[in-house]
Amino acid sequence: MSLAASYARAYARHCGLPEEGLDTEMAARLCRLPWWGRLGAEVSAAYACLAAPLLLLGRASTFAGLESDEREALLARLQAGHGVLARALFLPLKSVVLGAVYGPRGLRL
Amino acid sequence: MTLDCDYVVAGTGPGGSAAAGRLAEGGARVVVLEPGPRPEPRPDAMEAVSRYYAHAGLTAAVGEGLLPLPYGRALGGTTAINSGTCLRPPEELVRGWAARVPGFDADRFLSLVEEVWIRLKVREAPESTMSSSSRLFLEGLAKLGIPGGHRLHRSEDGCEGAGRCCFVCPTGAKMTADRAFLEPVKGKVDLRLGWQLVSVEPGSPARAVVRGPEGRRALSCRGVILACGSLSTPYFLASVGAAAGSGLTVHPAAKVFARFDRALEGWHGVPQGAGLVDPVEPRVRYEGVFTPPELAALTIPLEGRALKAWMDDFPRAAGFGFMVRDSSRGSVHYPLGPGNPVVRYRMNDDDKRLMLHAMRFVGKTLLAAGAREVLLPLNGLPASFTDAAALERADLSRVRASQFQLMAFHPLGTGGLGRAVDGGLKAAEGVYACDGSVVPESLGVNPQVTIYTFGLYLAERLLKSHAA
Repeated sequence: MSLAASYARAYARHCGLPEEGLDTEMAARLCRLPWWGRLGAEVSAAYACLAAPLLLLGRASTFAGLESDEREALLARLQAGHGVLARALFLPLKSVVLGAVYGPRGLRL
Repeated sequence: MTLDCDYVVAGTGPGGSAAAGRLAEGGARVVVLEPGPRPEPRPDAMEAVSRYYAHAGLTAAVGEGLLPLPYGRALGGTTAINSGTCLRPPEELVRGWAARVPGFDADRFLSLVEEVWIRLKVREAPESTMSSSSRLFLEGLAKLGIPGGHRLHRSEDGCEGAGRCCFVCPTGAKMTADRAFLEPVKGKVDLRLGWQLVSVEPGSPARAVVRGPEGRRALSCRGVILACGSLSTPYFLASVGAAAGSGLTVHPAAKVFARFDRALEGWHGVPQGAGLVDPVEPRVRYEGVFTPPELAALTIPLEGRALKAWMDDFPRAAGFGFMVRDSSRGSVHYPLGPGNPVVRYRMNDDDKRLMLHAMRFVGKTLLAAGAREVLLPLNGLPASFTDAAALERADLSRVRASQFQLMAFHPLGTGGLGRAVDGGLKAAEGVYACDGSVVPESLGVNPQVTIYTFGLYLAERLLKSHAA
């Protein structure tokens, strides 16, 4: 499984969103991106899953391994990052993960 | 592919389609290139974005932060995925262009605007298709005693308010560029989907090197018409010695979300059905907007559980957008060729001030309409307000432009009438441009009508010179 898909599952679990079908949804969405978009999403995921907990919270942990409140704080920090690099590192992942998490829900509306 | 045509038109957006259609009506032999596919409605908005937006919707300008700049890459160009809103170019701007640019005929241009208006079947969005967000905004204005809110004019023929304008109209009611200008000349233009311009050589004849599914071809013609969009056309303009690439304006835009206590189902109805020009700051224009949940989730400036709480309330959410006639300027560069522009744009303090003014205005209007909470488009800040007085008092003076949750939809000006092209839209012998790049300044209105008009204006002049 790609890092982006793994992040999507951890994200859905953290928020209490259904994980059913999420892997398939993520795979389909990643496939539709150009090669550099997929690469961007994976680099973003490496940052969000592995590097950000240490860099932003000072915790040597993965995103999934953090306590619930720490994950929420981390997500808030990622969202609040507004420099070019911070946005570039987070937005590709955010776009594909939120699309996968909320897209099927949108279809049901 | 024939090498013997009168004109090669690169791009099927409003400028390219209007020019190609009018040239074909006038008897010219026209080859039209469109690198993107024929758009088809998709149930999933993100799939439409992946297929029919350039760079899968990930195009962004770099400045203080990242400014997403989505535009279309499909038959019809951005008109395949825009809101269909039609506004005439302000007459005083057009007359100003004529005053500054020798050979530009403002009277003729303005009369062609009216022709575009008719061809696009422009009409006011019917009351029956209004979205709940638009209704609430107008209701809020009425409660605050602010006049001027109105239903917007749109290019459509039988819109039922499906609410999916930006993801390819599912009913085919939107009058896109190809529908308005290429369909009537079907069989008279050589439309090549999947083909794109590679290079252009000025001269008489001019030469266009094009690439498509059958490989690379060179076409000799009377003229090459550049209509690849404001972010690609400057590459070709610069290649023929024109001063292109700077002067980018984008109409920076954002939206305010609001939560109400009742179900609104905001995804029904025309998303951009109502508008207002700010009564105090005329460079600010308010226009309706609403996006499907997977895209709304992206633009709500929250994450994790806080975002989920908003998304759980999505059926009770409304939103309204705004854009600024910007005085900031950006530029476009091509280290990786015309298809992969690197865009730079920094917002100046005056535009920043207008953005903050606009978000406060929309917030207060939606609160007046009964919202229990509004969320300003600001990243990493307490941006949620439940009463107008607190919103009025909030000190936003230290907000940085990089903290705005922005988007921009109208890149213009990178070619510049009077700078890269002359009053006849000519950049070099046999090379012309007629897309958003030639709009010489920030318009302050949705630009499709203006760009269509530049297409007709150019075609008319070429036909006249051809006849002469």
